[in-house]
Amino acid sequence: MTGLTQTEMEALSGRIGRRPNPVETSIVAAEWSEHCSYKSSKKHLAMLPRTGAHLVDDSSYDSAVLDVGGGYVITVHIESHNHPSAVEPFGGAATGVGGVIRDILSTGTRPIALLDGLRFGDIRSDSHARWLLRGAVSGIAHYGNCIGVPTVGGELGFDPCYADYALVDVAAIGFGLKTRLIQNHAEPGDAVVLIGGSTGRDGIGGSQFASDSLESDDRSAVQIPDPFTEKLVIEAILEARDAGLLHALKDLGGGGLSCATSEMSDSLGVGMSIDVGQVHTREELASHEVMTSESQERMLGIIAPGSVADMQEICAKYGIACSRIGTVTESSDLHVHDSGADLARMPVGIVANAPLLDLPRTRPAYLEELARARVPDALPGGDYSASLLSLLGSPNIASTEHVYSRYDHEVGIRTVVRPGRDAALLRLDNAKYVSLAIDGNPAHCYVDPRAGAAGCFEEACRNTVCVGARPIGMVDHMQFASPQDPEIFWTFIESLEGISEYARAMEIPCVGGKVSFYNETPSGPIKPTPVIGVIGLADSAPKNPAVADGDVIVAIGTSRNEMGGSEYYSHVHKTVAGSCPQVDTGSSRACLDAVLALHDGGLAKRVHDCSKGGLGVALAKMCIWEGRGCDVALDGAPGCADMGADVALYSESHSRFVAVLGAPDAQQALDIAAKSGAACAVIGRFGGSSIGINYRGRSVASVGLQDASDTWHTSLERTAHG
Amino acid sequence: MPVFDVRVTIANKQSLPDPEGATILQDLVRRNNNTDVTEIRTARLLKFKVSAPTAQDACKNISEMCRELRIYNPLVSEVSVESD
Repeated sequence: MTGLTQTEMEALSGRIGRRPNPVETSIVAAEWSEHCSYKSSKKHLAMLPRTGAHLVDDSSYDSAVLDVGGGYVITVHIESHNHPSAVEPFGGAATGVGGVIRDILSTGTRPIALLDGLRFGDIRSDSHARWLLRGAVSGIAHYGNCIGVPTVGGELGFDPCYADYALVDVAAIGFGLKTRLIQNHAEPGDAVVLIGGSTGRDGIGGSQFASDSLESDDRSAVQIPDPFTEKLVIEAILEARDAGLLHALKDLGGGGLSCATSEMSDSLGVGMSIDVGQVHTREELASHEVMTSESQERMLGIIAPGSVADMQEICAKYGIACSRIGTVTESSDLHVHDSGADLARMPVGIVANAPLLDLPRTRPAYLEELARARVPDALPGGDYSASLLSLLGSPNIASTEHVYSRYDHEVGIRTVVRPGRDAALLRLDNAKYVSLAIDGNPAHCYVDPRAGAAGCFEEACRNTVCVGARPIGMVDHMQFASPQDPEIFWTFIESLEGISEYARAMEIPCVGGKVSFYNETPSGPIKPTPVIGVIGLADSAPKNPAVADGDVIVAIGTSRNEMGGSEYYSHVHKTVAGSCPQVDTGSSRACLDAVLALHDGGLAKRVHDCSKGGLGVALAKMCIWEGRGCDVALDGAPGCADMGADVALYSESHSRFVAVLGAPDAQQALDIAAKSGAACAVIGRFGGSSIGINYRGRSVASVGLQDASDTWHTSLERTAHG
Repeated sequence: MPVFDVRVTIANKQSLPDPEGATILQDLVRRNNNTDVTEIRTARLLKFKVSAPTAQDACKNISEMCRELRIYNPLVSEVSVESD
């Protein structure tokens, strides 16, 4: 298996002026895989705005570095481990966690929190999807809990397009002193060291595996998680950082040593000579296997030649291996040898930079069919009680407590807002708070990739302001099927443009991200699934005063008839029709500012955003959380007066929130919202034992609080266990 | 019908690492100077009591059941099924 196309083989031969030998071919094949090289996407990723006040601009880091003041930085990264998780959910998800933790560690910061975004097929009817869910959750719990990094949030979604497949996204946050960041640099003569786990045959060809569809996989790329070793790697690296030993550091991920050595050399502008005979292995391996193995829990370091003994002493103290595997050279070549016998010699600039593609794209035909699809009629009788209760039990809406209760979300004692709420919030040493929310919505992105992707971004911003934090950066994770299909590639570019437009309008920089292509199964491509993580910064944590009967419920933001891709249509009517919610950046800014102003003024007791299931589900969840019923006139909410009860209840328009306020504060809150330019109205009060929603003077939904609570809390667990 | 004891042992394939076993070896066994121990591999042991006409049938039934219920992932694990 060379993994290089004929065109690429010719390009490589042309660039190096000869035919590459088999070892060289396997090194370049690993690095030029889609997974490592971003060859299909790189030209287009340049459209994302990448400058911002907090961003520490250094492209040599594997994760984003943001200055949060007081001499501290946070680091953020997002990765996926979809292909490995689809065939071995426990190990795939666990090693996904391990990989993103090492990306955080490679900057010299300590990982302090994890979030997971998981997507599977329809667990109501698909026992394989249930098996994948159980395995992935066990893998994340195993790795995170063993290593002592809290899993503080994430999301869980289901769609038949992921049948026999899994999307496992992992985001991580690191924290540290700015002065302790590793200042990646290298001098000729510096030693190259490999730190951590031993190299074996597990995971060979993983990056190419991730760049193929599962249909063609040979299922050899299974990686075994070892959180015990990774914990020791973290402590050894941080001690070496404090001792000033590390000149440069990089995680070994996809493509193993091939990618780590060539990318590190290329970014530092040096050459490297690597002796595969010095790599600590757990079994006999061929040279090309040593270079492409993706064995886990390994880091590549550059240190002064005189520091090798000190580095080895630190590693020995933690019981992990540290091999000197090579030397930084003045040349611009990646030279690989086995105890002096040459195996490969190529310029790093060639190895690390695959020929970039500019793939064709065309608008998908399915969008025309969707545009013609008939919108379901309003329900006869106009009673939506049953549909509201049913939606609360939908796997995409029901409580995920069954999943996150398996994760340790408190270890490290930074967690302020725990999983299950809008965004995670963590306490930092500089008396500030950092939040992270990750959001995706394949249903919206399928109907309109551009508006859907911008909507995911806005949803993550909404969740951020709900915990009182201001968005300071974004990481995007673009998950699509084969870019070779012009219709798929069109959806990728549309999504990217939607994200870029919103980022520019809101002045929130893209600080990092990942592209994952070839997410498809024998039954077809997945829906476009961009997942957006938004990082927020807050000066204080929400005070969460007690909510009482008589407190007023306020709707912020304007509802529109935007039912396309709604959970109501897919869950209740089993259809996709209508227009997808659009993000209006002016309204978005006004509503986000209004919520932050309410937080700053100490007026809002609670704020929750409207997303899946619209205002109806947002109100019901608020009642369940507070253990109180409500009496709401939905036609009083901005934009709702003339749209019909079903649309008012379930439209998933963006830039909307539900807030709870003490009655005496209501007018002041409305004034604050108006000052920010946000539409805002009192729509009801808490009280009673049922969720009562009226529309134009008539009850349209009345659900007992206990029924709603039981359904929301227990549905996912019951469904997950078949 | 007689009842048989059937033991199902599930371990990582020999070609794959076993971090739990390696940790026990490095951090417990070797630390106590048991240098004659060169490898430890962990496994899960499931003990079944099952009615079947013969011991062979009991093993076959349990083996199929474990596979159908995906009690192990054949991609990662090797499984042995035995009865007295």
